[in-house]
Amino acid sequence: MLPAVMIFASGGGGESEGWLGRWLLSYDFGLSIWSIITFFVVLAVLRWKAWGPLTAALDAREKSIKESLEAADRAKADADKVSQDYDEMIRKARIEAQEIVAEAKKAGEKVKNDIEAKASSQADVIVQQAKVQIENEKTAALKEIKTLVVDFSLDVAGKLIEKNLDADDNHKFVEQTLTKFEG
Amino acid sequence: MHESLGDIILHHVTNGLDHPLVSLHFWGIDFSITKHVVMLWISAFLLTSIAILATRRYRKNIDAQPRGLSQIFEMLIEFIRDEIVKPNIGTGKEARLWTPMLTTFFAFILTCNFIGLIPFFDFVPGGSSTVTGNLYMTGALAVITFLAIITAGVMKHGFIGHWKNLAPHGVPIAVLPLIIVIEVFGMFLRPIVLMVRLGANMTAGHIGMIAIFALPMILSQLPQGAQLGVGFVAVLLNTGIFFLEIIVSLVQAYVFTLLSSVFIGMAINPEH
Repeated sequence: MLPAVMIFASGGGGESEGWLGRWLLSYDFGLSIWSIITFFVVLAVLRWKAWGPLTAALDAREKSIKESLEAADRAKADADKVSQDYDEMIRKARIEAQEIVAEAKKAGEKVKNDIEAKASSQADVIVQQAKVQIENEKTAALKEIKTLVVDFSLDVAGKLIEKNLDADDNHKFVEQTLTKFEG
Repeated sequence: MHESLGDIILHHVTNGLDHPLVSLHFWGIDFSITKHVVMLWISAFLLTSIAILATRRYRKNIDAQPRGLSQIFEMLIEFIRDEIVKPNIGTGKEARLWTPMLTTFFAFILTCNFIGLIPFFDFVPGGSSTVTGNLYMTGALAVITFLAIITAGVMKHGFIGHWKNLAPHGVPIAVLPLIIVIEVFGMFLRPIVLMVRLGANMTAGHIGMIAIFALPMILSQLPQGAQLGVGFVAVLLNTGIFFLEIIVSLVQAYVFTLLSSVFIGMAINPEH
């Protein structure tokens, strides 16, 4: 590379100030002014025709994406709320069902108790009635037995004594005796 | 005819001031249409044509979906806006104001850099050189940045407020003159650095490539076979450098845009 460097450094020869000097120092303000004019023309045209519409489109897209996301968020929030309401409803329904079952149980218990109580009181009544009836039957039976015994006794006594007594007097006498016996 | 290698290289990297295509002189300034002006206009024409073509669908329908070329332009403007303008200058109104200009900076510099890389333009009258390698062109862009910095500062803080911001708050009175001198110096230095960085980078690659192509000529004492070999190596080397130059073109366009927006941002938010 050394020869190359030497040739570079020697530049264009004696009459010029060297290539580096010419690159740096050549007077070229015309190009600067053309550059500024060209740049601003390009900027104006691009701003008007390219960057403007492009930025507007990007902004519009950004906005629509943002809105879509917000709408999605809202929809999700709504769905969450609906789901929560539904859960709440189910929870309430469950509690209500439990209450209904509990009440039904209680009512059933009560009915059962009532029936039992009623049955037992009816049974008491029946037993009581049976007792009364038994008592009556017993009294009637005793009365009948008494009558039979009196008649039989009279028969036996009449036959034994062979004395023709007035049946009515005898009957009265036996009854008096029996009454005394009962008392 | 003997032309030194230096002259050949110069012919490629400098403007053809001695051979203007159209000679124009106004108010003592040479407005001649030189080859760099032609390159400038070719770049401007190509950029605007492609950009207008690419954004055609958005002018017809604001809800258009990106496709093909328009995707590239969407990426470009989004990149400039989100990665360069928003972090350095600010979001909202300021981003909206400065994004078009900085996108144009990037796209225009990149187009000029790329057009300068196409050897085909050697066949165009006055063609084949990189206008962004001319310090007067990069200087003009730097002047635009310089004015943009002042405009941004004045718009945000008012005319007096902008110049007051040159001196940071809370500096002791004793060192204030020194700070002001440094700040004013820096104010002019920034665009100068922008100018030299872009111009020197774009020129350097071209000088390098032409010098490598000139290797067989430099080594003219060698036998012809060896010269052919050197020429083959030179082509291989330059193919590699060409790809490097594509990267340099992108990086320099990016750096110019980024630094411009950093400087504009510094005028808007002076305390940071």
